[in-house]
Amino acid sequence: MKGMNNQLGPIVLSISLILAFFTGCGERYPQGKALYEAQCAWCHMSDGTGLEGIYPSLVDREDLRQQLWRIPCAIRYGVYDSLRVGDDTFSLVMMGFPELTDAEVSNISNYIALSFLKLQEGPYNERAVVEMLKRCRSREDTFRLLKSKLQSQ
Amino acid sequence: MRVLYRLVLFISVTVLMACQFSKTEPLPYLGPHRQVGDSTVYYRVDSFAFFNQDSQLVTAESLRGKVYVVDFFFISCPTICPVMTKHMKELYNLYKSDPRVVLLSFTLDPRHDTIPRLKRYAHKLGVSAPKWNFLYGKKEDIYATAPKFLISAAQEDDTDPLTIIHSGKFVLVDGEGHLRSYCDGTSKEEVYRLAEDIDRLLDEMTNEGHE
Repeated sequence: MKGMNNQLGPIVLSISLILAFFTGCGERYPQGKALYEAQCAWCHMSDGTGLEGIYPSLVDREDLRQQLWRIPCAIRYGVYDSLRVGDDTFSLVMMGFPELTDAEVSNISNYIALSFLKLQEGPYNERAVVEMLKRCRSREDTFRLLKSKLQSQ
Repeated sequence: MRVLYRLVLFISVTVLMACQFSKTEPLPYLGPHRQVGDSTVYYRVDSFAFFNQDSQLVTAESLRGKVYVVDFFFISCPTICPVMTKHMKELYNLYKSDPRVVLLSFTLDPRHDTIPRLKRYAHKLGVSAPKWNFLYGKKEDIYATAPKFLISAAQEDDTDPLTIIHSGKFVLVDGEGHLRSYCDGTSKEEVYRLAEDIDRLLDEMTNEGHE
């Protein structure tokens, strides 16, 4: 019995280390995770897989890895054009979340980048996000136009 | 240590027995029942008629002999509907090849979710009737049908789909229109539990057929 206890010690230790490692990873952006769960997960799902044909998955999206600015742009201003991902076309509008601050947009984007795009480091910070949001400014005109079109319908 | 071992053994045997027990017990009949003479008359969903995404009429009568799962949703729903649809799709995949199982999703926003729009939605989702019917009808008829399945639904402002409030329940109906089980359609675990109840109903039907 005593020998068994001695064997159990290292096992328990390593299990708790592994657990600490994984939970620690998931909590690198606790605010991003909380906001993702509260705002994004309704459609993109908690595991990022979306809904086939209706809401695009965020998991392993090479196009987003290549164009990281699209994530903060989509969060702030929404997506009003139809979107092609692989062979699928997504035509439902995504509303933007203009009430979220730059820091919050950065945290959500980092959470998405780490959890779903499998990046090792969060590529966003507040300053980078401000710069990226400038890149989608040019699209704001399209956005305003489409929005007024939607409202007049 | 020995006490712990015995405890674990006791618990596992109890759980195993409980599982066996629940498998043989028939599913309950939900809703109010009446006593007529010696027999009990169970609540049943008697009548409804709506068009599906293929403009085919789906009625309570046409579903006699089928086991069906019902939910209420709408396409632009920003909250619980997407995950409900995702879980309904899992049921679709589970029972794809069993024609005895049918899925019904009633739209609570017929003003926007027209038949062509429901058709496109189903197509994009990769599903089709007669397995999964997206049902369309007059708004007052749909809102009057929800409570028949013990599902609550209401809309505060007729022009604004964002004011629709509704339950995320999945309700399981047997071949005679009796309500036999339900679950929270937003919970994956509960939906898989409902799938076990579907299997039990199918077993029940098979057994009745042999008698």
